Amino acid sequence: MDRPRRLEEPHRYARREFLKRAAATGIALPSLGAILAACGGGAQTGVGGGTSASGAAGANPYGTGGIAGAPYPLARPEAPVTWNVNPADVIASGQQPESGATLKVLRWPYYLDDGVVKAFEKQYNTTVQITEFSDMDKGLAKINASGVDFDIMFGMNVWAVGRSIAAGLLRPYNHDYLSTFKSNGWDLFQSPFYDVGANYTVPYSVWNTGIFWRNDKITIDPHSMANPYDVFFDNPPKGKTALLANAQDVLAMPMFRDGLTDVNVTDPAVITKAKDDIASIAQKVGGLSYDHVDYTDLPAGTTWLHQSWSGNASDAVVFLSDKSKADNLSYYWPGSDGHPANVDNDTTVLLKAGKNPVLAHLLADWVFSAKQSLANFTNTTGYQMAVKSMTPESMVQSGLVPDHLSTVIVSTDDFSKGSRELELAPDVDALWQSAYAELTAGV
Amino acid sequence: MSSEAGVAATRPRYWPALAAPATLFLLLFFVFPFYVVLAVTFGSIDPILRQPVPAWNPTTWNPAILSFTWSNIVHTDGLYEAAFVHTFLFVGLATLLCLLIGYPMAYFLARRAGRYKAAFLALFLAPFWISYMLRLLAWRSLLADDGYINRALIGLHVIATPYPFLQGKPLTLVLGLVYGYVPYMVLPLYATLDRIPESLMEAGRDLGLSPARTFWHVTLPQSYQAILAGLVICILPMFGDYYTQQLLADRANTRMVGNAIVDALTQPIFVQRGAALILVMLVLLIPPILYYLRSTRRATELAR
Repeated sequence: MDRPRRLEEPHRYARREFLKRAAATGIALPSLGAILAACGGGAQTGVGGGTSASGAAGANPYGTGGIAGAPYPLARPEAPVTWNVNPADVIASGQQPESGATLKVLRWPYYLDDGVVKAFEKQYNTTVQITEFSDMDKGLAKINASGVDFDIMFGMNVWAVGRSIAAGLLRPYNHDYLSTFKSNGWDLFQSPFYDVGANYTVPYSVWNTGIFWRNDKITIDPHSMANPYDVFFDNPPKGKTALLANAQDVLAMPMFRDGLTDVNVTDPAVITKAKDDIASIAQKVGGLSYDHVDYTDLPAGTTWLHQSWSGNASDAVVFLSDKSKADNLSYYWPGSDGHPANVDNDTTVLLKAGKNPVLAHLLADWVFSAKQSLANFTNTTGYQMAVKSMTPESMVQSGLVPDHLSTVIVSTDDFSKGSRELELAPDVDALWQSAYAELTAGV
Repeated sequence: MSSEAGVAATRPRYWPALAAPATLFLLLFFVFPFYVVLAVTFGSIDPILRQPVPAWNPTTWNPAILSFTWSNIVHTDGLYEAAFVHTFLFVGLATLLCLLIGYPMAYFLARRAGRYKAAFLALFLAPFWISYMLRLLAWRSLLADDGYINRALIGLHVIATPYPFLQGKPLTLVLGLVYGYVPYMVLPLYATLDRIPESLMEAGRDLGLSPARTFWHVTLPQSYQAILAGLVICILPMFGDYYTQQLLADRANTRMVGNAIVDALTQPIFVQRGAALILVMLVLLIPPILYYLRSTRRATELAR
């Protein structure tokens, strides 16, 4: 599963002008080095800075708040965004679900349990037709294609919400249909910073990004280390070390190691340093692997040390050929000991082109029940939903998650400890992507 | 009137219509997609969804991305330079190995297998009834640290610790390519070698040639066109191959152009780069194809 995310930027005119021109020619971006040269050496512009109001407030046609950098406001925890809602797009309260309808659902592969869907079909006497997308950008292309009428999308990344609203693809929620979300969904997401009032989103999965390893193959104890990220830098297992396969997770890791708590960095020098740090790991281990299949790699022994998402780590137990070897898998989220670390969520959104908005509302709400969210986690996704009934303690007690892997379960508090990898302005995004492209190319 | 002109004059008028399905197919599945690649390469990026926007009107085409891509191919330490070097190197080696393995195999099948010819041919082709992807996944199991190959090598005391076959080894990649593409070399060679008249060999031997010289002066020249066909059929798909590297040698030091294209295409702001790489690849592959076509035409003319 590929869940790339982006961030933001304000900044120096020279670089912006240069990159804007590049964007005008189709993002004709040269290598990172060339970009930096054009930026006059990449002077420090602040880390995660630029939280000045976008001027979007009142002026932006899509919403208020946020920071500047894109045609629509970019949401930040310290600069929340309230998206404009056209009342005509909100369905009336108290309607019956569409009868005899086929509800068209978009999801990541294996990201919504078939059993949960079947129960919904039975409950509302409807048919659900599922289409999958293999990465968020392809998902965006699918909902933007002409002539499609998908009703609902599970797993839209937070970074994709703003642009989808700006492109007119999303339908606002009528919260009268979301009673289960209201009662069992985390309070945090009743009005998140990226969508104040939750007008367009309800949360779907939550995860953190941590360190996943085979404790029968390597002896490390990140929990007791002054800097847990050093496990990737100090004697990482040669040929057996891997990182996730997207720019933000990969480059954020050395930034966290350097103590940054906001990794939505716009400074080219910081991005370059992160790239060089990762390149130094690649050199030590004789070539890094970048992938999202840690959940099969570690059980198979293909890798012994992997940067990982908590949902993948929880899934990995399923892929062990010998389930009694679950103790050999260890996962650690640095945020649990107060180190800088990533924690994130994705969302469920309604699509404006859909023909069955009532059923779409009902399905979005359906998965929030304790029963369905547990079935979703246990039977298919391995990713936890933001529901009150699912806590690290309850998951361990029920035996669904081994005690030593309890940090794969995210709690509400983790969102105050960890930091987000957020949507970037196009020019900054290009910097990150170029740096990552150079890493994967070995340049 | 020449005999050819005579045949043309008596040819029914509807004959050209028989080419219509193929023409339509080519228009739909080659010409149009190719134009899409051009339109994307020379197009722009949507500022909101950040997805590529094709430029359908050639008068609005912007060559900046193509120029950027080209400069990153030809400049040392360019983003795509290593991928092209790797591709030429690995494809060259793999094709040579395909020929060295495929020719004797095809020769044996065609001229020495006797009444077991069909059985040997079926045995040779049997593994290829399974998809290449699945076979590569099987190779991953075989080549894993605790796979049968490492276990056998350790058991035979050839190595003391598992050899990291799957950790970006060019050797694994080249052997994977050979394994995947050797049938494309064998089959045209087999078809040609099987059709060489025995009388030609006998004539060579009657003129006092040794078996080796008979092969050199009779068999090899007769199979030249098949060798050329085998080379072209192997090289073309190998140049675009990306999954062999992904499954058997997924590291930066073995990345090929196919991998660079896939990486670019999966990142919307870089889709144009991917399209530009496809154009460059196409241009690079045109000369060998033209050479093959010219050579085939000349061979046909000589045979008349």
